[in-house]
Amino acid sequence: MNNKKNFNPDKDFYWLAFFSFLLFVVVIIAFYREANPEWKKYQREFKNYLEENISPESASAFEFSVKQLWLPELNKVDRCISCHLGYDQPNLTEAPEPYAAHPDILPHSVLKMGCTICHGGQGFALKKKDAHGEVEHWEEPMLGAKLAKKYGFESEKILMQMNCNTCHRRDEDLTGMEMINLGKNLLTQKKKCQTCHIIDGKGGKLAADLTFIGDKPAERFDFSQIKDKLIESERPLSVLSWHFEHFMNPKAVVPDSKMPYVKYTEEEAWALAMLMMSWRSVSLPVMLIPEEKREEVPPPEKKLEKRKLSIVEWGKELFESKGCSECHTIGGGVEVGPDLIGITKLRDIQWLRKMILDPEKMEQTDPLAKKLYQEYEETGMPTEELTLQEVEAIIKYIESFNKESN
Amino acid sequence: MKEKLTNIWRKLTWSWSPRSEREASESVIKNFWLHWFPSRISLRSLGWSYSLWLGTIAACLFIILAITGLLLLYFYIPSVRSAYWSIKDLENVVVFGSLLRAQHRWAAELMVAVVFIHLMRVFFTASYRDQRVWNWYIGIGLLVITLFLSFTGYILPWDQLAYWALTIGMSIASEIPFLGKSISFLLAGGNVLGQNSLLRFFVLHNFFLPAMLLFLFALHMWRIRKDGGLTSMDRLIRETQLKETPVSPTKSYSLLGVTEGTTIQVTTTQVLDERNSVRSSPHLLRRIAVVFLITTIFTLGLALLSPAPLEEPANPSVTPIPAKAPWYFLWLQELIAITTIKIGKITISGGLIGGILVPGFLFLLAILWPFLDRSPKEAIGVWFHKKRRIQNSVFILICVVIIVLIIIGLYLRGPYWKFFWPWQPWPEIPAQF
Repeated sequence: MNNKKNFNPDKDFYWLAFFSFLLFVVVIIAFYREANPEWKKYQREFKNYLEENISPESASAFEFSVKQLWLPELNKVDRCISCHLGYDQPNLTEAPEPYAAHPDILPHSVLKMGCTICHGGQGFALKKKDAHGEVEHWEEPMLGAKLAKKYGFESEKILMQMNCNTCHRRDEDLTGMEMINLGKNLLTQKKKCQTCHIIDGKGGKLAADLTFIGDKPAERFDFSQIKDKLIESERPLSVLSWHFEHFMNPKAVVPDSKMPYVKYTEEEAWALAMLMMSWRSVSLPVMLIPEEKREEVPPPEKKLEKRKLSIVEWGKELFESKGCSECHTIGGGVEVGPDLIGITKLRDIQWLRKMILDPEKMEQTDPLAKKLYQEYEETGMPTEELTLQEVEAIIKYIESFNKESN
Repeated sequence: MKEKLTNIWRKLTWSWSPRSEREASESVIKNFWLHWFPSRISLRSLGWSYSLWLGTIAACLFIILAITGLLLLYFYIPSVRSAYWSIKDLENVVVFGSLLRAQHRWAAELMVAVVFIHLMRVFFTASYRDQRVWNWYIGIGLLVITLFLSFTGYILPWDQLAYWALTIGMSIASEIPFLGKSISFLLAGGNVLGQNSLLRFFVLHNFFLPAMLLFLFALHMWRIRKDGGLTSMDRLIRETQLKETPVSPTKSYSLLGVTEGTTIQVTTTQVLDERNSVRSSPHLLRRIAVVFLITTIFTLGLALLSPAPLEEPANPSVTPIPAKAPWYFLWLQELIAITTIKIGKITISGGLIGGILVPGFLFLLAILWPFLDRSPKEAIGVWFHKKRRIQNSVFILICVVIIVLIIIGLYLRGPYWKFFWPWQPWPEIPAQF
């Protein structure tokens, strides 16, 4: 090593030249790859198709580029149309996929809503596998033929109904949502779900709140009882399968489940499972809601709901939720406490306000309240924490019965 | 005519041309790039096999990281809401975006590895002793900064990988005795990970850590020159058996004349002659260019073959199974998992042992080792010297344990941190649909 014979400066020069060339090659490869993305292949094919089947003019008007539907209100960018190129061209109904025109879906609009809101998949992506959501780390695959086949459904579009219902959860009997309609019918017919589950803010507190059950991640479901069964039957190990198995036999999925066993058919269980998956929290931009329906859409949170209710409706809710209806009826006869029909005419309004606001104090100090207390077997009226506005609402609600009886 | 043309050519290509030898040498001294290196370099230091050029590779990687990182800054939005989607756009529609990000990522991971291998080289050649202690410390500082740079970069996409790596990192940090809670609060900008944490890590990643790294890197390079070059020079000096010139009573050897005898810089230049050295320019510069090219090609090639991962958007309510730290911290996570003991229902967390005590002990050992090392001077500048057999073996053992723990964590830990042999398939993870 100490000898200069071992060192040949020319050698380094050749290495430098060689690696410079190699870098050049690698850079060329990088450029080539960047210039030939997957979507360009489809666009070239599309251009050829236009040239051969439609007109040379339409082909020459077509430009190669990433195409996207940008929907800021929905927080979506759908680049599906970079390959599904004929989606908005009515003369391409006969074209092969992915160039065919989108079938008529009025009153929906592809331009306003994009693709993934109904079809699922990854709108950001530009490679087929990524875009169709058949990759790791993307939770929403395309709800198309491939997935339907995995679940053994014959209809290609059946799973898409879940996404329909994410927006249409408050609509009944819509065409094209047969499975969801079936699920909804089961829900309203049997009505028993809300004995234990809260749905849309109403129901019992014995079991999980199902309002947005579709958002619950797979990691929080217990698959231990059905894992082997699903793998054996080659069905996807998924939340949708979990719901299906759970509707078929709750105890087989959650051994200590208190959910009653109902003999559903497989179709019914799938319908209910799909209904569960569709209950997801979405904030719909107002522009997507038809004008005649805008008022009907219930606000997402209960607190907001109160602001939009009329004072009588609010009073009704308070009457039921604060426990008044446990002892009192309005025109239904005496129960634990007096029937309140006509009470607003019978009693002084100030007295009534005080009585609702703090009955315990009234029963000790006010002579009339004392008398009533003894009359009704010394069953005191509990003091609820109410605001003056709430008291007013309750009075207005009771008052509304007067008008009806008039 | 010909002279005129040469003059024009000179004016176009030279901003200034020296008129004397002295002016020429001054130009070298004044030039940052040229004075960085000695005028002559020994063949042994220039050789591929002694230093393995690891420091140069690390520096090249840093340059690649700085360039790609600067470009990435144009596309990245440091917000909890937008960060993930800005990366998605970068991956999908930005021209060369995916490649840029992949090269940045590969260069970052390689830099961690190369800096550590560089440390190993320095240990095996006993290049951390005597006057080089300071450069050893600066080097350890550079390793720590490299680790933090890599970790802070890991956080920025704000996906599940990032969020849970940060969660693990913060819980390790909070195990530091007394100060732990405050440190993790300071780093995360609160008790809960969120926008504050992301912004802090963004600023650390893009300003403070690179600035610190550049500062220490400059010191590191400067000290190499001050300490007499690479340790291969020490060996050369020993072998040439340079006769020490007696101390002259009339000569001062440093500015204030405090020291006696010749300094290492003088000895170093005395040893180098036509037989055992070449001029740095162009030989050293050319080799650096070759190393830079190879590093660029290698990272670019890896980037072409394998894009950088991006998982689901960060979701505090869903823990991925298993949640793993980045690989260079995985040995700590594995240590924590091993030292966490369950007795009945009581769990004793290994966070303190695996997260703080073991790495703290290793760090302390690295700081103290130059003073505990008793091997003879002949060992300096020699790979695996006989007299250093025991300490080299212990060092190798520590490295092997770390590497094995990383491999276990990386490949053999499946869902719920359960152990799986490579031939055992991991259980399928349920999906949404």
